[in-house]
Amino acid sequence: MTSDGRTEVRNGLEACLPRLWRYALILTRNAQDAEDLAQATCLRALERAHQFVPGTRLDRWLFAILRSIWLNQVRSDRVREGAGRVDAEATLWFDGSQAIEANILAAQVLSKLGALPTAQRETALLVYAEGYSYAEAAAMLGIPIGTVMSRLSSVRAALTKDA
Amino acid sequence: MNQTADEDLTALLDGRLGEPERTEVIGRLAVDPSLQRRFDALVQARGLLDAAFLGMLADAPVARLRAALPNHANPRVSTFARARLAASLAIAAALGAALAWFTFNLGKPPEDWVTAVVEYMQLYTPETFADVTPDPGQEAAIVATVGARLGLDVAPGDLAAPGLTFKTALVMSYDGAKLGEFVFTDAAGAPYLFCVLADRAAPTALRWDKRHAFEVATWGRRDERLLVIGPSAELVHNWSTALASRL
Repeated sequence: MTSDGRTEVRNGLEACLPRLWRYALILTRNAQDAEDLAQATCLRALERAHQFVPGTRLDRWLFAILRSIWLNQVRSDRVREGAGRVDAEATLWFDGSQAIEANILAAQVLSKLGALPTAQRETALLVYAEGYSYAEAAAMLGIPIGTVMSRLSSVRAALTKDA
Repeated sequence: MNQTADEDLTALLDGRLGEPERTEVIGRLAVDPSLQRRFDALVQARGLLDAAFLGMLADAPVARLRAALPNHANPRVSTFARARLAASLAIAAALGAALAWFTFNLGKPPEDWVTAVVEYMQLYTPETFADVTPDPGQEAAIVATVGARLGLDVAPGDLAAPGLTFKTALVMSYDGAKLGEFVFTDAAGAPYLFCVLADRAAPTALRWDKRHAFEVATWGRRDERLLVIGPSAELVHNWSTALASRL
């Protein structure tokens, strides 16, 4: 069965690349960091492809890997930088985005989204863009369902301000 | 409006509010204009989020990511990928114009998908899609993209109907099956929906029913169940007849 898992990972990885990068961007708020994180996720996935259970959701397996790498990176950054990662990269949020050029309103939405806490952005992405149920998102993030509800509510409310 | 109420409204919109809270909130919406306005704002936020997330996909550096994969040293961006990128941007622009987005499955899944659609139709207002004004290029991209996701070979001309203006199209989930919704409005802004549920079933002939304030047309094909709903019986009758013959 392990060879089937490897095949499924190798065959399915490319199709997941845009969504992996988007998830990474939501977490890092920096296009270059997102690319690095997505690449690291791909390499880790290929290394551990034998662990993938054929027939299960490859995208969610990849998301879990990506999140694990990111959390480890955040922890190591905190150790290295003391008080935590500086948020200066927020200014690079979606720098040069074609979506921004295409639509001023989209730029405003991205600006509001980028200003939200990472936990809220991540929860909104998982539930609204990736189709996780509240329970699935709660399990992925290791939080109660009530917290998922609260985060989603906060995201929606933040986007309606001054809209 | 306090935070708890916002959470209830969000859970309602996400189809995650259980009973009896779901019935209570829907009841309050019917009699509280300020709550309805808040609800509308939260609905709009979902449309904005969808546009933002969709736009991000269009910006993903797919070629570089693919190049970094082992055994993929000479990547090239396919024509298909470019087309998808263009479609994504068009959709992002259309959705970014503040469309209202609804999720199905309010609370527990209704007994049948027609009931779910009817329930949601009752939440739409003429303002819901008032600010959504896709140009013909965006309309074509949206219809093509949503059609492809549904496995439906469809173009704007196939869906057109006299007196109705295209607004947007979405793919949602109903009880694990893909549910496509093509949204149009009449001259007064009243929404009309053409819905497609990807579901293997015995073909059924076109039939019309009255559900609440709406005329509902339903029919079935081997791989889809189809539905048209709107306030005008004449428009629904004409449109569904045309769709059943064209598609």
